[in-house]
Amino acid sequence: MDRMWVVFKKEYLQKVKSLGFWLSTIVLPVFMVGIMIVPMLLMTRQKPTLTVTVVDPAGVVLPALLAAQEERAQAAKSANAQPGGRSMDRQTEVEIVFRKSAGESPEALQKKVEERAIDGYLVVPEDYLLAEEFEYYARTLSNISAFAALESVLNRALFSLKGESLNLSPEDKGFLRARASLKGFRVEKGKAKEEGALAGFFAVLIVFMMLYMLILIYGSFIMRAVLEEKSTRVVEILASSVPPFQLLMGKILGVASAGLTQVAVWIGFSVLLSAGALPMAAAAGALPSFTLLQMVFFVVFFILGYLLFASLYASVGAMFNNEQEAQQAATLVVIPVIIPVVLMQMVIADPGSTASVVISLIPFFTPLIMYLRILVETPPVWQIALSLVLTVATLVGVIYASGKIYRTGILMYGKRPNLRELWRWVRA
Amino acid sequence: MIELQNVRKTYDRFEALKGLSLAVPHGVVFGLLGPNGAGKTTTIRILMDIIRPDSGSVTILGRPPGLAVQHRIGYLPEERGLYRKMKVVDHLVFFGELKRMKASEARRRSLELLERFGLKDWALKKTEALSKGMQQKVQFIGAILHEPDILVLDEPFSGLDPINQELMKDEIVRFARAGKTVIFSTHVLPQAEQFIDALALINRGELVLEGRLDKIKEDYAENRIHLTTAAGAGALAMRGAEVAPRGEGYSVTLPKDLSPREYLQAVLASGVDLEQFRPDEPSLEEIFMKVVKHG
Repeated sequence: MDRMWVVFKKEYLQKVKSLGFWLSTIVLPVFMVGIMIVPMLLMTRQKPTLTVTVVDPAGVVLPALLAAQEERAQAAKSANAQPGGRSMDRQTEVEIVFRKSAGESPEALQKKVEERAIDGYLVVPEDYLLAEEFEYYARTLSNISAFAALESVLNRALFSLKGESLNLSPEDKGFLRARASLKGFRVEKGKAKEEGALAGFFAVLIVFMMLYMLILIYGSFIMRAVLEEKSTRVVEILASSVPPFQLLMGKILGVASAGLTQVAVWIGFSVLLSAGALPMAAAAGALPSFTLLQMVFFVVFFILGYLLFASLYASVGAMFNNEQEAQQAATLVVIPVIIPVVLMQMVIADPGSTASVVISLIPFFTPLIMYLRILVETPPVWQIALSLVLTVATLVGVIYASGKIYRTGILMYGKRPNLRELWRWVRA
Repeated sequence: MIELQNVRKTYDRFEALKGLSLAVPHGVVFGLLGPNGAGKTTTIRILMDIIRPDSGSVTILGRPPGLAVQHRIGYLPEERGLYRKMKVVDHLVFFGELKRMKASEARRRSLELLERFGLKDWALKKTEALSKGMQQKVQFIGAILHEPDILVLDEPFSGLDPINQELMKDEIVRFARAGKTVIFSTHVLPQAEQFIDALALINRGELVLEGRLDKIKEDYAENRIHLTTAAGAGALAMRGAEVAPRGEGYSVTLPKDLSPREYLQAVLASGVDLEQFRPDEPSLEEIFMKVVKHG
């Protein structure tokens, strides 16, 4: 296997010495955190406003609506002032401007809606205290957060009107109005630790997506490298100096080591950060902390997932002549990486369910889904062990088949193989 | 030294080699010649252990092709390329290490050879910055870097301008004069003829002709001379000689029983002025055509 190390060294150094490597080392985490945080920031910056005309002949409900809107805005402001926690509320924060109707006909109001003078109008029924439905006419009803906000303001207003009709004092109203929220404690290894539910969720999401991107990006590096060797024909010289299997493994392991170097840089930085500035925030429960075991599993599942997909990508690269041709087959390879992302919500919601357990044991899904389960709720040891055994067994098979396809494919130009030929290559 | 015995190779239904046998002696420039599709590249790829024959035996330096001998062979494939993003010298070091050189030794020799080929200033540039001809030189350096005993070149002249073709030719001859063996393939016979010592002519996967060039020329020599004269062809056609214009003069084929001396005396006696005359050897191309037609 001595030639393998020459290929390994070349692949590793070429990757690590490149500018792109260091750029992605910096950019990827910033990007991942960015796609989580930027939409939230945008939500808070740019408050959508909704202009609603209220058809209220009695003139009682409109003042209550105005008061309720004011009250709700105050509540949201104080919630946002708290660290961590209820940041989800920001997304439903829609400013509603209520207007008094000038006694227009429904036709005139509808015309105003269509001309965009107002977003919609709300009709207050005569028996508004008992009504189960209020009619709302608008151009669009698909803006769920606006719809929910309007509903929430309406109910606040009705609550206070109902309170007045019962002659409740403001104290009594406040007493009835007060709601309780849940405070989350994560139980693990006989310890309970306070953790902001959302912060925990986003952290899991970020780490999960990073694992996903790493597997995808580094796997596709292999395909591109094989295609480059084929299209530049360097492969002729390689094939005459290195047995194909050593060539393949040298390449895969070299690129894997570059990926691990990147992960090591990230882990190093996060350890430095949490040793420095962040322990206070972590202690406050706003930030989740990752255990050493979770970091070790990140590396383990990166290696397994990467090896699986890199071998698949290598055989795709060997089968085709250039990237355009390979694109379609590459899409097929990506599907087993994307499915876990689609199933992610389900697994997070119930990590111990039969469905989650089964999915996490399917070898191509294991690296992402089992890791997700470990992040969310530590699964039984036997399940982790079984998933590892199954994945490693699959890996051996995939590497064997890929090695065969690679060996034949790298020297084939022009005609691309059909499935029967591929099968013959594998058995050869 | 290098021997192929009854080697067969079939792709799908196409028989690329139909039981080819040939032997390459030590220390010669050996031309593997033949038209396109004759099986030259297949033969070379078998020597390089890139593909395996369906049957037959191959020995190089007393062993079958494979890892045990690969590092003693230098190889320039027909389809050439380099990693575009690698620096020239790093690329050469990689090639050297593949052939079991130490990195430091490979670097030293790469720089030395780059200087000899006038590419010293390009050592630290990425290969994509090089012109095609320069890339080809880098690849050739990659093939001779580890001082192999055998150099295998597949169509080494294709894509080179005349100056670089000449340089390549000189390098091939220099390599052979150092007591090593060069095998190269080409379909351009007139060029090969200028400097090969021995050859194998193959056509449609079969050996047509094999041996030392001088011996082959002797075997196929015809009773023919080349003349340059101001006089017309008609003045030369005498005593059964066939006259055909060739180059600046005429190629005259004599009947078997007529010696060139007798013919020339007769021509001069008839009052024709001869500017130049020399025995006319058959070209490899002619020999090839002849053998393929009659064999």
